[in-house]
Amino acid sequence: MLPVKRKLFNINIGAQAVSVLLVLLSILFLRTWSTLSIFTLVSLLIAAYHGLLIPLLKRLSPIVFLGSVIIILHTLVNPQNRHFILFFGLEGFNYGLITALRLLDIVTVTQIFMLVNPLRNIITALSWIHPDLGTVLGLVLSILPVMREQMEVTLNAQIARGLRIGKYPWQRIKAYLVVMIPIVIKSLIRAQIMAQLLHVRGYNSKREKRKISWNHTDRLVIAGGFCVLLISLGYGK
Amino acid sequence: MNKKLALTMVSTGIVINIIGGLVATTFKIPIFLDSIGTMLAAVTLGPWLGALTGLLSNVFQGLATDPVSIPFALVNAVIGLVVGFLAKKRGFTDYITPLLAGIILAFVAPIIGTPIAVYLFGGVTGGGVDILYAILLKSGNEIFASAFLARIPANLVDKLLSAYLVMAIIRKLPQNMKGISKGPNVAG
Repeated sequence: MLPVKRKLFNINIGAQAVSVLLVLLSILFLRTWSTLSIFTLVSLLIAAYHGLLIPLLKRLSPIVFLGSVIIILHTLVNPQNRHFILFFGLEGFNYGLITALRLLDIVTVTQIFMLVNPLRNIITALSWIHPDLGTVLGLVLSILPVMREQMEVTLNAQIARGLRIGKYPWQRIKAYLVVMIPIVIKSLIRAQIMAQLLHVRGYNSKREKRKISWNHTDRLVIAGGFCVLLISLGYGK
Repeated sequence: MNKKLALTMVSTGIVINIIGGLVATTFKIPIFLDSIGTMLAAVTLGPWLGALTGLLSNVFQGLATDPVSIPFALVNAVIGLVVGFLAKKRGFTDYITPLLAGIILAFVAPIIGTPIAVYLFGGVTGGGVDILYAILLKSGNEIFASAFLARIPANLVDKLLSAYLVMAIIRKLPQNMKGISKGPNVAG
């Protein structure tokens, strides 16, 4: 038997996705900073229990920064500000805090899902919706590293030919065009070659009969998602 | 074969969107430039596949790095639709259609994007646009109006530049790859 901490990793990806969607929906009904804070705390506790806290916090750091900007900006200049402590508006602070916490909750839940399921697994699961969808995203996954390399090669080649990025926006935009045009042309040629390869290999996107095979734990996870939604509907305000 | 080319063109469009955004960030350009692939797919494959390219670009980016980009998939999909329908109606090789596309999208994209941005981020983007947003808020405008007005100048430059870049590329493409961009009288 696998240790308890690994159980989250054993739940069917479809059941996890449904549950995450229900939880995200429930966040939209939470309208006070206290309920949103409790939600954040519970999410972080779940992540810590499954050994995901450190990578999660790393991924959350840009959102925490953005959240701080949201709070500061609305505290200072929100037009709803009526009551002030020095020059900090209380109404704007409340609005900013709720928005920042909601954003943090949404990102926390989705990042936990993404930490548990690698991108390749998510894309494979998406092909259940339609085989072509999986093919398109699978192709993106395989082209992207090549194109990133292509971008670096093109950038270095153009710099060697005398490209200067410059200080002003229009100089940077000119440099952008010089780098992007060859990348776009090469990627279009690549698209044609890939289409020919799919053709000669007899790619066929026939849809087969699909069956959902969720076990007891998967159903429990979805039921849990519904419970969170019902609780947030009841206590959100 | 056409279906396979459509599949690979959609994938390529998504990658161009991602790389376009990445190069813009690398060069510290204060506009997004992440819808070139959507426009290119819309111009060559039509509005619906263009919309799919835009939609999947944000979904992929959301799954790979930044989950908050998923709601903005709607904006990218509408860019595909607008450019696709314009290309279908007028072609995309003249100088007027990219101008029309840029002007329409400079208003349509913020109309769809602003409610999402206000709900999720309180209108804040974490970029240079925030200064203009703060000035508009301070001058007594409502949150939605400030966020909407602050986005228009950046969107206008972004969409015009992307549309003209796509036009320049389309003009250089061989006839068999131009798709619907040749216009209603030439296509087919």
